[in-house]
Amino acid sequence: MSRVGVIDYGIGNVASVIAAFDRIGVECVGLRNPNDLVSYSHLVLPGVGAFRAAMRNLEDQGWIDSITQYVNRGEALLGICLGVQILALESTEGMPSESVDLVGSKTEQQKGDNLPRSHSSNFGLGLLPFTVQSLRALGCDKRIPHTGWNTVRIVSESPLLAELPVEFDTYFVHSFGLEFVGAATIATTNYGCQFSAAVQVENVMGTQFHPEKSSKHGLHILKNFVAIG
Amino acid sequence: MSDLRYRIIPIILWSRLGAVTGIQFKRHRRLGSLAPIVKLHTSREVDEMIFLDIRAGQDSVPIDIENLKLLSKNCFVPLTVGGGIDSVAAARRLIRNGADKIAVNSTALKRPELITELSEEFGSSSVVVSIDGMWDPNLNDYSCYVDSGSHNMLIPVSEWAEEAEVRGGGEILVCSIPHNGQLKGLDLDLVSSVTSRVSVPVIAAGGLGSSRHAVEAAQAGAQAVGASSVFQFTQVTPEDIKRDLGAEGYPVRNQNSSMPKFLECL
Repeated sequence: MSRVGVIDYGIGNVASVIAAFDRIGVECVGLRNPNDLVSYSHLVLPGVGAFRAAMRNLEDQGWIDSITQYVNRGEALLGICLGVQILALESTEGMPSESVDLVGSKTEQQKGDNLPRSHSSNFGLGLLPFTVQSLRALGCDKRIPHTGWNTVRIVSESPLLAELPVEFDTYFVHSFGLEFVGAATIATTNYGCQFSAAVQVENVMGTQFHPEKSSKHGLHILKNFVAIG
Repeated sequence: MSDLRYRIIPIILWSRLGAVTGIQFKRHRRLGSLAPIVKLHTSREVDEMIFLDIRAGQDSVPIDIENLKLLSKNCFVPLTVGGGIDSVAAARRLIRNGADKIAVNSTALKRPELITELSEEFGSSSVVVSIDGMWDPNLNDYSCYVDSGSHNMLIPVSEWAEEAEVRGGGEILVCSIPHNGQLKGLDLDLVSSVTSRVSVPVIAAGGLGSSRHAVEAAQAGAQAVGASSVFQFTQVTPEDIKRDLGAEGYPVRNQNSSMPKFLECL
């Protein structure tokens, strides 16, 4: 039997995720102890906020190893919004070249150059083959953050997006995104640039949009997620 | 279609013991308890909801968590919550209990650093800066008012909107005080003064009484329209507004995609 948990590491909209699962009749528990992951089969990593702050929280609370072990067991993991970005290789968010405050700093840091994999680093968990970039860097010339309902276009079949129309609307709120990667992108969205709306590599998946806040289509995606495995 | 949808956002005002709608920020009409209002909006497939506790700041009573939980349990679209939020801790309490975004108004005008603190913690996309404006002849511009419109800050709305964006605000909610609750249309000059000055999304509010008014707000550059009275006291529904926006060429959500049967779960 599937047991659904949502990682409560201090900066996600945990209550909204739990309420959405509740609406589709699935019990979902907020998890605050990394040791608890062993008894779960479906795990959600939510995220609202800044990449570095999120990584710092995950590290400080000891989640990193337990999430990696969870994934190695083959159980299903779903990252939402910042959560899916955390699952990626690294993010340019908050790096000197991305930061308004530090414009003009003499030494522009190279991607991941000599950054220790430690507190406040720009490395993600490395479970998904993406680099997180600002929508501006991806070519978006529109108002940022990308806030509101936009079309998700399915580009490859997946259990997560089963039974959904080829195009449907979901809710986005983000300034950074995952580029398109053929092997891992299962749906895309356009907002002045194309980026990955939903991704999957085996048992690790994620959405840039908020399924818990995307009304009926979003709730159906959560239903699909729970049915995986 | 790949354009961002124009959003229709009901604003639920809360004053001490009940939901209300405002009339020029001076008087209020009591609507009663929260549950039927949220259910109405949910059944109408609105794009978002905004919940503002208009007394929380002045009464120094934080937003009632039970209300927030009730809202969040019944709201499967984004929920913005505001009222007296003066710290990261106050905001975290709301986000933990079901808020997806937080709105700040008077507290940010009195201490602008708050916007930066919140956006550093929760991301700028979670921070809505709400501005209540009214034309001030002495300033010869729209001025920002705080504490439910009772105190003139003598700061031009457009200047504050720009500063709010620079400080990390991810969205601006601009409301006209004299147009509030009048159902006679938005103050389009006020809306334009903000949309022309910032690059973040703008929610226009105050005065929406028909779908025509929403089209006008879109033409003034807004990405969303917020309203309260129109959904309580008129026959106009969010669906009506979306239909008319769509006819004018503004993309709206799910107008053409038929919902498969299995999705009819809301």
